[in-house]
Amino acid sequence: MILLENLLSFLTAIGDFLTPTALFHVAWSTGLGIIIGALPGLTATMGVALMTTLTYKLAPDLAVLILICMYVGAIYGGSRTAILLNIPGTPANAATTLDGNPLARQGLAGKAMGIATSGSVLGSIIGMFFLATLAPLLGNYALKFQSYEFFWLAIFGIVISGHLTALDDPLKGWIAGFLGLTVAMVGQEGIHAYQRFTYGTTELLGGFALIPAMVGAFGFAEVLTVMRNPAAEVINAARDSVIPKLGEVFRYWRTIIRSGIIGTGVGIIPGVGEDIGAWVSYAAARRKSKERHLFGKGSIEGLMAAECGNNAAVPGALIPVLTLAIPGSAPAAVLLAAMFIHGVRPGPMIMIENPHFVYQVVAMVFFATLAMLVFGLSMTRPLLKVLSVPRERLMPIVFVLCVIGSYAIAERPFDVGVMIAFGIGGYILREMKYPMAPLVLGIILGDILDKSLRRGLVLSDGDLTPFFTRPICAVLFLITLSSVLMSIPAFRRLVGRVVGAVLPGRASREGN
Amino acid sequence: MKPDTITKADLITGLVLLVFSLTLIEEAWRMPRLEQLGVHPSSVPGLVPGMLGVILLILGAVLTVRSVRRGGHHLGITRENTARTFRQPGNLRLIVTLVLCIGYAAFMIGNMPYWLATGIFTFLFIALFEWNPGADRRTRVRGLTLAAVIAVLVAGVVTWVFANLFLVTLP
Amino acid sequence: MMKKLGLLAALAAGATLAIGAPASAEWKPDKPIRIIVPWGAGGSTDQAIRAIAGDLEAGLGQKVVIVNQPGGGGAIGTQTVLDAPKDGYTWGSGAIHDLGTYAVRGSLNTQVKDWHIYLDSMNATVISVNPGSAIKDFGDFVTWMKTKPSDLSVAIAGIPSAGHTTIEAIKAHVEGGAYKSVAYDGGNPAVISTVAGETVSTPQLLSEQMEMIRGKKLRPIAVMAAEAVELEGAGKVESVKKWLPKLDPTPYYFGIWAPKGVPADVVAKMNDVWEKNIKTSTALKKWASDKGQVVFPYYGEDALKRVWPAIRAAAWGLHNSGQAKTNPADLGFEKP
Repeated sequence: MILLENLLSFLTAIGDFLTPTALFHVAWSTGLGIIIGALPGLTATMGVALMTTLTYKLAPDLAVLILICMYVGAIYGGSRTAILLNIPGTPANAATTLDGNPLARQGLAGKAMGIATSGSVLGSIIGMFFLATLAPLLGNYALKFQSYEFFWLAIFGIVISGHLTALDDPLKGWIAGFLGLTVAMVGQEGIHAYQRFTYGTTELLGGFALIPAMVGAFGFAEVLTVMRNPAAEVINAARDSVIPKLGEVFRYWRTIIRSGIIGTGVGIIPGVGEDIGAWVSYAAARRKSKERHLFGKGSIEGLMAAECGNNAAVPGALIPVLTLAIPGSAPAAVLLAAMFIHGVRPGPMIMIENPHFVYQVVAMVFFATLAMLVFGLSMTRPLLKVLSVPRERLMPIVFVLCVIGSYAIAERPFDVGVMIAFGIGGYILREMKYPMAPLVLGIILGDILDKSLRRGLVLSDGDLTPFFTRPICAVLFLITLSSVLMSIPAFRRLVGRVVGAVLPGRASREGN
Repeated sequence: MKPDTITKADLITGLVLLVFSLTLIEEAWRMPRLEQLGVHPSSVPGLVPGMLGVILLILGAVLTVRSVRRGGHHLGITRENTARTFRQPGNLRLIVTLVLCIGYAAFMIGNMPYWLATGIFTFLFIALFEWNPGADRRTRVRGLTLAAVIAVLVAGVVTWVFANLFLVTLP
Repeated sequence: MMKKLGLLAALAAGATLAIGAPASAEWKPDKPIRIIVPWGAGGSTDQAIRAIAGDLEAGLGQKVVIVNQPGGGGAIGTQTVLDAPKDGYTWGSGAIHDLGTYAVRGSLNTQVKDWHIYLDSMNATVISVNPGSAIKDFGDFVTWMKTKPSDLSVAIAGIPSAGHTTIEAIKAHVEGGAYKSVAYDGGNPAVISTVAGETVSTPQLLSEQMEMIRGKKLRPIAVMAAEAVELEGAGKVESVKKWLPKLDPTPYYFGIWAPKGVPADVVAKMNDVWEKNIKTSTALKKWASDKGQVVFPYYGEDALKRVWPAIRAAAWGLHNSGQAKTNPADLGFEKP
């Protein structure tokens, strides 16, 4: 019954965009997204951030439509580079290289691209289904999130995102995350109007704006990275057909559904996005696969899982954006900021104030998926051309856009300085293997953390108990705590020993 | 960066973090408590910056200790190593990129018309990086012409789109 | 050169006088006009300015570009206007009590008398409570302020904000009264917190509460206006004066302004636009009735005279609650 209502609202929303203008915007923005994703060094986050600066004069629904198409297109476009160049076009496609490039080296580049396309489309559809069904449900539940819950959500987001985006070294993920939170402390705070860390300058009163910071950390920093690294070569071109055989795709329906669900779930976790979605789906597919020995040597199933997982994470990441105004991934963080720039206010009230918008977003993902399918199967040659544009000609243009883009939103020269500073800082941190996603999440969550904690303490008269006894708080706190504890080797050994004592059979395996 | 270079970098980052977080804690401590306004003592502006300072202090300390344990304190900074680092082609490219980009964004824009600054930047960037001293004259002239054409196009299109389509008052 | 031009201008003026044409040099902007909204998109100021953008374009014969420069309680965007050339192409905006109290708050050294002001709308604040609250009317609210202030959480949009000014004005008239101030990121989140039950009440702008009041998710108990108001689809709301007769309720006025020093022809043109386009604007009227706003199309000295009591009240309100950096008396605000 509820599903039927959802479906009806979704169809109405589809109707909203069946205009020549909207379809035109879908076509060019998805196409451009695929190109940006395919170009090594240009990421989805950067595409969405730059596109925000280029569309902020459009009507809100069209601007958000363009940004979502850019987002979906870029996450998909990166698969081309992963297959043809063996470098991920965006970080989300890192897992794609493992099986995509071996297939291309076997002369099956076309088949690999076709499988990547179908995986992306199917992952996107599964994610879309959950976006359409979960977002309204969570939206009604989100009113239960009050200051106490938002405090933990901010801490939880930083700790989990820091942990998962730097799996081999969570310490660096956490440092990045807490640095992001600290950056957000600059400026006039909203409770007593005290000016923190502004040192008497009017410019710093409002703190650092997110979009210029992102354009710097993802745009300028990428320009620096690309210019420093040796140039990459396109190793081979597709000779076989990119149209996938349906039987070959649906043989792996279990893997598709599993990867779609994993991708969406990972997307929902604050600040943990497409790249982790792809890795977790890939690992799960490998564990369950009958052709495990092929993984890493050109497994169709592995390629399918990776591309399904990263594209399913896109709609997943939009779920907390819409219902809690907390981003599920780095590109979603920019998207959230863009929504606020356009006066669209996602958050707990959205299902009461503007339920139609939620379905419009689902419809936007739908159109982006459709365009992705069409371009994915037709744009093989033009994309190869784009991939052979030398970086020496592309990077100056990217930087020109970074400068004018960060300036244009508020017309403040100060924001160009912010872009440069975050670009250099972001580059240095990235070279030292600090993940960027928790940093970005921190900049967004800092204000929420600050106000929620102090507001909560005012409401409870300085009593800390509600922060631990309210049910949602308790759950978030326990997950956060265990994430921290499990990354301490001594504690992990202790757990292993306890588990060993209780379940002697497992002790030998834990010991290895 | 190679793993052992990162271990060394971690030591420096760790020390920087320690200094930074201590400054943060000190600044947060000095923030007004606003007692005269009768505000709730747990809503003082310094609370969260102080808390973040303490967390970063712990993380910085862990990073420093870990780096020393892995031998990161053998920094090995010598004149030859430094010179070799600067001579690596990648690092050279990085420095040229930095100089060009910062020169454009911080000094050229605002001191000359936007379109001119953008044109010069784009031309210089392409011309410098595609410069091939070994090539014959015709190739070089062709390269420079191409750089000039791209520069004119970029400057013209970006200026026009932002000034006339988006109605932005250009810097 | 200058002399020559001056002479030419004088000749030209003489010539037009001789023909008997009206105003000699009407200002005709030759590039888009920027209006800096020093708050985020979708907020109260942003809405109030976007409501008249179309009519401004019609009147000025030029594009009007709205630039959002949020931050610093309006100070950042207003600083931009002060830094821009005084040629009539860059305008500031906001609520007039913000402009009037930057100096008192110590964030900017500027006062309302330094500006040509053009107002378009006004809005009252409304004290509302969660429908489940034991507070049935404003009388109960006053009692709570005196007897259990620690249970009376009041959601405001930070400092400065319309809600903060309102609740401080009420507090000043309730002897021994107090409340628990809870600040949110803006008017909407503050209102939502009362809807969700995290806070007991909110004294934010009517325009920010209108939908919730219509949807019966908030119960309005008093309006900061001299008279009771009839809300479309929500019934009558009493004036605070019914309980606090000595309180002089002041509404919030929104508009645009340019710093003094802009050419006289710019001012003349804008006066003209306000008379011809804004006073008769149907777009403004429609927006106002949708949002629970009142059209307030006054400008210049006339407007200043009308809004001065509100600015003065806001300035002294900041002083009384300890948030003023400069004593309002030193800035020419007579004590109320």
